[in-house]
Amino acid sequence: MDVHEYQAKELLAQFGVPVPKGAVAFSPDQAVYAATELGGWNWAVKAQIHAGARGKAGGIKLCKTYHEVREAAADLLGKRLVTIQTGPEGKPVQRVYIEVAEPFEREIYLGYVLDRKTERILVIASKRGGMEIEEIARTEPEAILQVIVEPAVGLQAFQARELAFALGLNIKQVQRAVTAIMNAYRAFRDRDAIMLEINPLVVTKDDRVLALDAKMSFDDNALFRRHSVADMHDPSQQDPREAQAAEHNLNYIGLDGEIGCIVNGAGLAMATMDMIKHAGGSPANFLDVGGGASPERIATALKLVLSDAKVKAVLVNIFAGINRCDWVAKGVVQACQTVDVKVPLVVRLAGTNVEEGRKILAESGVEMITAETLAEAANKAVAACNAATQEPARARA
Amino acid sequence: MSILIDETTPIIVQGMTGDKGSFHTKEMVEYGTNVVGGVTPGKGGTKHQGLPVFNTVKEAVDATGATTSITFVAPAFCADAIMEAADAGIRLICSITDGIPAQDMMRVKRYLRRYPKDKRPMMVGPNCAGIISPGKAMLGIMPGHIYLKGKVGVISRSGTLGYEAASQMKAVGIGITTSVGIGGDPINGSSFLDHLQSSSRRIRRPRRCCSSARSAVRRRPRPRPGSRRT
Repeated sequence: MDVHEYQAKELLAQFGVPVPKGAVAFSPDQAVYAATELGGWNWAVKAQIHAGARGKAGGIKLCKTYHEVREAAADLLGKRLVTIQTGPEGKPVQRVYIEVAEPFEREIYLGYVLDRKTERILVIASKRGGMEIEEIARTEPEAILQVIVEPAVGLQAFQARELAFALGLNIKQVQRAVTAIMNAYRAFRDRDAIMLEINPLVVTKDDRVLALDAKMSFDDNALFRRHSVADMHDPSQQDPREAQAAEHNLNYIGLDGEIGCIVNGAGLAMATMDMIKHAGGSPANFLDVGGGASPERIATALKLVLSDAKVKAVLVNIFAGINRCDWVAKGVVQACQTVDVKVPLVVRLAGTNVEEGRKILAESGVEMITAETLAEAANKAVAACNAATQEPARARA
Repeated sequence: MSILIDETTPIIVQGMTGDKGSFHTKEMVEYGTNVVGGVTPGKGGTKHQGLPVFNTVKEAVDATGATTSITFVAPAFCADAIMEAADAGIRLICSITDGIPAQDMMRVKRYLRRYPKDKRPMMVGPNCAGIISPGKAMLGIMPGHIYLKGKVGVISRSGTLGYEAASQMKAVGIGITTSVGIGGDPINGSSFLDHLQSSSRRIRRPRRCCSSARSAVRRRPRPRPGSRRT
């Protein structure tokens, strides 16, 4: 789960990482009020979206008067901001963050990630702050510093010190940077984060270090014990169908094709999409209903897939292990009775209780095409989809 | 030549009295697996499906001599259950649980490293379908009837895609020695390479079909951190 910059900064501040003074605003009036409260005559008005590269896309505006703050907030709020990370449709800006713009001397990159390869938390730092880490890795890999945290004892001060000295900081700055690095690590560990990027961490003229930007992602699997993190969730930043799917614990990703897919297991879902492509069709989505799918969940999944207007046919492919075919069949029948299914439905069941499942489908009287193997199901779905798209064309002619 | 489990392997089920645990314990026993008991804290001393239930893994191991465990424990408590099994001397821990926090798994892996290599338990999963040696034993949640007994080893990250592979193999008459699901989580108990190595030690006569896998193992005798992705 991702959070906004201002939420990440509030969290970091709680753990003792220095951040510039700022306040969130939902309207231009609030933005001006925030600016007066913060004081000074230099503010940054920053669009709050779950994506980076906002600066280049015009999502961060520097202002010197209240009037400029009002203008900037009015300009950003309510619009969809498109950056290189959001995709062409952009993300809606519903909040802006007003921050005191502090002059700084240097920019540093500081990142934390739960690394799959080493199965440890990595702390990554670079002198080349302000740039994308991928860009630094490509152009100047030797400028990237890394320390691996031993899970049994956590990040040690000497590791933070090594990083700080390698970044070329003076002794006063090193002490403050070590505190910031250690505290950010505690925030990462104690809130079950999987990624934290402070880019840039800046050094001011008077030798302070400040987190000027912060991007943070949390482990969805740990949200059950991190209520304060779960409360920061902003569904407006997600694709509406993906948000709806997440509410029901379904894993949905919308695509451009015409055949809706409902599959259990991510691996089989990908294989099903491959088979549809192989048969000459194209999938409208990736949807993993997960293990132990109840009839209600299958029904929700079907409704979700059918809510996509592009879908011309639906393929349900369930290989039941922990899940049971009779449950899935009940779900399909239940869904067909509550939703008006206007497109052809291809159902392939295999695995635990397959006979009962097929029997329930056959006896339900619901119109559907059944298949025994994955290849057969894909071929039938593509054929049904082609027939469905040709029919209206013929009717028009 | 099966690896990891066969019909004699004594197995305990952690979380046996739960909904999923009960259903799949029954399935495993029906398949012929040597399930010797279960562990549910607070239900020790009772019987469930005719099998003894213990409060702790240590008690279960002392009473039954179990060497292998499978966990159907809720995500919040699963890391604890895995470490408990390791501490009780279990040699193979298979975790079915989906949704264990990644930082919990990080600590579990670190905990397993405190055992010297020859005493370190093998962990399979989490978020996996388990292990099956067709015709001998089933340690997991897969539908047993789709696996044909034979000579090919299968290692799969995905559970259901592993089933798909097994059923397509059965359709064309290719049998399986052991199928291992390593699980889809960011941090796994064991990798593809770990299982290739453990199986290559057991294959006595070289066969053409597995020569490339064997030479791949020979070229890289030790797992490197970078070799986890496949």
